[in-house]
Amino acid sequence: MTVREATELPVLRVPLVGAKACCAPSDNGSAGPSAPVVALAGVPNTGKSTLFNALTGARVTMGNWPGTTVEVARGIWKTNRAEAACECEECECGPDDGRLDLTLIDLPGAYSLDPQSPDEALTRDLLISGPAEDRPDLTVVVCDAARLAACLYLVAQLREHGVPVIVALTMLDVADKRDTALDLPALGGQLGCPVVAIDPRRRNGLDALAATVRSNLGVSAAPARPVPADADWLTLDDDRFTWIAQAMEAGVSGSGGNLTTTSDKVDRWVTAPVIGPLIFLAVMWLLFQLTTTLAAPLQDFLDGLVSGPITDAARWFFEATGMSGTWLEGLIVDGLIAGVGMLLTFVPLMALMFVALAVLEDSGYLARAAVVTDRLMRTIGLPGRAFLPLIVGYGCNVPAISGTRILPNAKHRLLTALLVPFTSCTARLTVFVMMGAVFFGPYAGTAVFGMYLASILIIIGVGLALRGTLWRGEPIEPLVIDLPAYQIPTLRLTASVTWVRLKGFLKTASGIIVATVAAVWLLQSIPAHLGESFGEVPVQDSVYGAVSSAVAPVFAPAGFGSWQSSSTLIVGFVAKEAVISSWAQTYAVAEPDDSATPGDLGSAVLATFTESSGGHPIPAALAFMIFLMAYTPCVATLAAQWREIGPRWTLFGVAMQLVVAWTLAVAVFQIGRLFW
Amino acid sequence: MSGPLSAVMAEVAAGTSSVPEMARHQGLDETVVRAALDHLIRAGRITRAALGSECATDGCAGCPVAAGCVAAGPRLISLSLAR
Repeated sequence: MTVREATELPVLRVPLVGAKACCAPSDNGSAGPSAPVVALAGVPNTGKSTLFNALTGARVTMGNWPGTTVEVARGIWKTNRAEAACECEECECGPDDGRLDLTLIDLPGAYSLDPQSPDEALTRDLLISGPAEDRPDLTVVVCDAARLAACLYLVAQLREHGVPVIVALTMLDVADKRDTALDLPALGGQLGCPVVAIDPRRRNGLDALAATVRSNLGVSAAPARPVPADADWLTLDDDRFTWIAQAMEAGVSGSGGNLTTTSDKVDRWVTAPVIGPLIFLAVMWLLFQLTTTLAAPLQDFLDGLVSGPITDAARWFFEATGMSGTWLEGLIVDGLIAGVGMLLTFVPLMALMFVALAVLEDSGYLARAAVVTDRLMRTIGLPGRAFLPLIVGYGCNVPAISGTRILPNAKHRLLTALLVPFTSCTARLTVFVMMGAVFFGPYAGTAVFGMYLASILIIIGVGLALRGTLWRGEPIEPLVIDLPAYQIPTLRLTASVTWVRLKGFLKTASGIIVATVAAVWLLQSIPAHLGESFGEVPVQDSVYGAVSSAVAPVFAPAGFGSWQSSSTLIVGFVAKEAVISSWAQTYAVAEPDDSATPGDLGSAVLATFTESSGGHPIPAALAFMIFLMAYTPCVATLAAQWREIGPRWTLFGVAMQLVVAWTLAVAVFQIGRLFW
Repeated sequence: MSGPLSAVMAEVAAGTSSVPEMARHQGLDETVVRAALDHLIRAGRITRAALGSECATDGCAGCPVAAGCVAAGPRLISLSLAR
């Protein structure tokens, strides 16, 4: 037992309802045996307990209901009325002082009288199943005005059983903020019971509730609401919800009723079957265009800082200490400073991208984008819910692979896990931005957007191909997305989400880059042929260069068959975060300090692509970006796949990704060279 | 007799993706649709699974956006008719 008052209150031992023996002591939170009993019922979180506390003050006892483990609070509700009648002879209880004390019972929250829990079972037993003499004299159903429909099912059932009911509406302030207006007389007329508006927190409306309760005590309840005879559960529930819908129509207007809100109006456009996807694409294009344009000056500034003063200072240090030209200088200056410095130049871009995505999320637009994407996938026959892990994949493929566990169908899990690597993660974004700036200048944003579009198209294409074979005849499971109302993004949440993501990206990427830079440096230092010394071999003659040169011819039909390009793709197999740093390391140059033109690294890459493509650098660059987007994302993703779908399917996925990537890259280059 | 509950079940079965869309299709109040969905879930007539941001924790260890995934994102749930 929990006693909420300093006074001694005995444990509940017998049911209060029904304990109407005359002249029993007025304890146990009871107003006395002859006092009317009023029960508070309602769905959870409607303010029922707040109302109970407001009505009873400290005159409360809490304890398990006899024979159950359900805790019930009861108390004395002192109302002002001079009718404390007792039917017993020689009654000595209840002074005729103009007050009427009621025994108030706070029943456990219940959505319906069809018990799904001991709480609901108790509510049902007390209100309709138990002996009539044990039932409350009146039941006040507390309803949240902001989610009234959800609260009225219980009212519907009570009305079917002819239980005397009063509806007490709480949360009217919340409903008012949602522009929901209530017509209480009309609502009461439709429900067939009194409706009172209250605010228990501010103690508003409690007198009106007390007056309504008093005037309804001892009065015959309205006739029970008729229900279809011998009906099955669906017919009965349909009847109840029809009644609820009619009550809502009669008594509620505004966003909680039938009027269209601004969000609804906007949603009609942004989730429309044709316009919706176009708006989604436009938003994404704008996002990439804005972020790449705004980030460019900041990137160039950081470029200049890393390749200028920082690199110069490091070289000066090595010269001053007599270590100029040593392997250590190569590792530090051409490796770590060039690699990590290159990562730093992308910090503004990633920050802006994360801010933009956080704003889209916080505003509620991304949920609409999910609806649009879901519909698109469903239209082409792919399981709609499979796109959800795919969305996560655009941030990082690793959690997206793990996220496939939420799909109940094993074949859907497998299909999604095979599609996730085609989602363009943030690590690939850095390469796209760099390539976009070098090859497409002011159209860099459009080029990056095009890669994301290509990513979606590849997912659709591969998904369709797999569905036509492995997943033929699989049922499409429905998906419902709860669209939150649009809201103005909050600075705090946006900043918080941006910082968390940026910090995570930097933490992971920097670790990968440092490790990869060291590994690449080591491989570039080991000579491929005898007769050359460690650390003093040209890169092309190192193990790194030899392996890359051996692989390079494979990419010749795609226009990027140079050892420099193939080497960075090999590094990219480990992690895409390390692609640019390994490039910088390979060329052993730095990015520019002049924002108007591609810098040394850009110039070197441009020259390499021009040479390897036979004078068609743009289609070769596009082919390279497509290949980079479609082939194996990183070893971490492979590990996640291995865990989720096993080695056989993981290897199948790797082979499929390489085939798709190479085929598309060759097609893009061979077709593109006809035009550029 | 076909009422709001049957209509909502039909919308779920048809794969309608959002509550407002269901409400529009059926000419119902959105709050009634939500109440009907909640009722069907409680009654075990349709199953509900949260999706999207609830990736397995052991898969997020190396993920740069794991924390961000939890911090924000659309609220996505999957509803399917119980078999």
